[in-house]
Amino acid sequence: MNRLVKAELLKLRTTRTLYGTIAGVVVLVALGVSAAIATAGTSGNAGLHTTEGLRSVFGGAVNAGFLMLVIGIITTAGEYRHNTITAALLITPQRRQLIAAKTIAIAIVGAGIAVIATAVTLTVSLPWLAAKGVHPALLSTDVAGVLLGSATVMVLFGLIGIGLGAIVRNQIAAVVGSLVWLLVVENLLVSLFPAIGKWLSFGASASLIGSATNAGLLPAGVAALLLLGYAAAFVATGIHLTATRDVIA
Amino acid sequence: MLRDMNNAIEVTGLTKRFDEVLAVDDLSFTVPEGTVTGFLGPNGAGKTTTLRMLLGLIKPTTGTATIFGRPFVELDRPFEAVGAALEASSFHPGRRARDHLRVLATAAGIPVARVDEVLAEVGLSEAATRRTRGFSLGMRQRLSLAAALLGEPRILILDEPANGLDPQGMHWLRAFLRSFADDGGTVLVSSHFLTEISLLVDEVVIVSHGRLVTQSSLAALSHHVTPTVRVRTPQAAELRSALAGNGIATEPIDNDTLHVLESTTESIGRIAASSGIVMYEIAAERFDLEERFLDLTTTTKGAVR
Repeated sequence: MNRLVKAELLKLRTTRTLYGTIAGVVVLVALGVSAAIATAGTSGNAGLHTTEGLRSVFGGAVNAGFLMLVIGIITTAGEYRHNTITAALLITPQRRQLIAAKTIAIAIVGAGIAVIATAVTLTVSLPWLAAKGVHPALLSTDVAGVLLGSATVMVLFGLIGIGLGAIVRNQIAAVVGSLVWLLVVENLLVSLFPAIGKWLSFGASASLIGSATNAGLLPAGVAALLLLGYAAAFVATGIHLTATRDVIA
Repeated sequence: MLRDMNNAIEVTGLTKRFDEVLAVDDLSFTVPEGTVTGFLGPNGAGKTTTLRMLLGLIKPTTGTATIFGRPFVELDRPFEAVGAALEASSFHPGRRARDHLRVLATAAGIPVARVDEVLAEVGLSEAATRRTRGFSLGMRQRLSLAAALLGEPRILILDEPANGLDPQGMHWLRAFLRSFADDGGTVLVSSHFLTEISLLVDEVVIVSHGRLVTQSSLAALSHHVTPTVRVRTPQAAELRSALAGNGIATEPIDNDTLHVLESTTESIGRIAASSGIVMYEIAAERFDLEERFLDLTTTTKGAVR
């Protein structure tokens, strides 16, 4: 198993996808945090001296979750796209182990991406906030809590991607479909029908980055378990289908 | 059932149905250890599906396929038993050739030094650090073969390896497989062209419409070919009846050309002369394995489709 995880990490390191993802995370998080600080206290946005305002700054890192979802999908569906699945299965015919190794590898990558996203968030926000006379307590729910929450989202979205890619196998369909689902369908459901939306991955993520101040979302602990449940269900389904379906070409 | 210890591969009653299509139909054959066996059939005959079932990639509807007596997926370190190159395009275009092999070696627990060995063996050392995006079909074939060789397998399974190879590449592949077999290795190589691999194989397994047509040695296959003489004459009808009078069968090709079966140029010439028949051309047809192969594969019709 150790060998398989190492091989999966090597796969990730030997194409440009991972480096592109890291660059994307840096840009996306830096922009998200900057936008939150720049617009704080204007046109209905909470000010930086409020809990809500601070959380929207430190929650900017959660956007990296979308990129983790994509890299998770590419890790499984990409094997079918380039038909490298055949070469992989000729070395490792134990298909369940292969997907399990991918799951572990993406969890490791997710943790690494979360560290990068956290570093970018702090690097951009702390000097800027200090210049505005805001000195948040780093080990508070509003900072460490929110950063930990978004790290959880990143890792679990990576795992959802693994499962989804293994289920759908068509990389482009999986990426486009899941982003439309998250950004359009779930996004709307969370704001229009919060009673349903809070049970979806988008609602759970919102809770984990502390948007719980807009009432109606699940408590962070429950949200984390819910998201973990989604990830487990996607990965388990992906493993099962990979093990049972024919690999035709 | 007792297993013949000399068979590297045994396929027994193998059947695969994809929805309405019966891709492989009750197929049985063996690949004796130490031989080079050609797996032949027209495109769509079920060759690739059979190879994929043999390698655990496709689940048979019924039947079994074993390697040294066990299904591929149950082999311990399967890459040491079988190396397979199924298609020449299964690389990530953005990954370098050497990295592709490093990934596989890592998963297999094979030292990286072996990666450079196989790259040299297939003549890809120079291109090792290039991304596979720019590889020609011939280079892809070589990289697929390099991947198959990583585990120093006892059996090589190659699906249409000649596709995209230029004559030098083909010559190289032939020499390579011959030396692999001379060192005691077993090769199963599929092709839709018999002539392409006839210099290479000892045994042939011919399939058509998913069914076995014949398994035999290459030598035995050529013995089954009917010797044929081609004759062009303005008096085709007269010649045919003259030959028929001597118990010799003929097949008309067109108005003035015919095939004379199981006879020789000498006896045809003599019969024509004694009947006063003019001939413009007379020639023994070159013994043609490819035609024999086409005959075999086009006369066998599939069962339920």
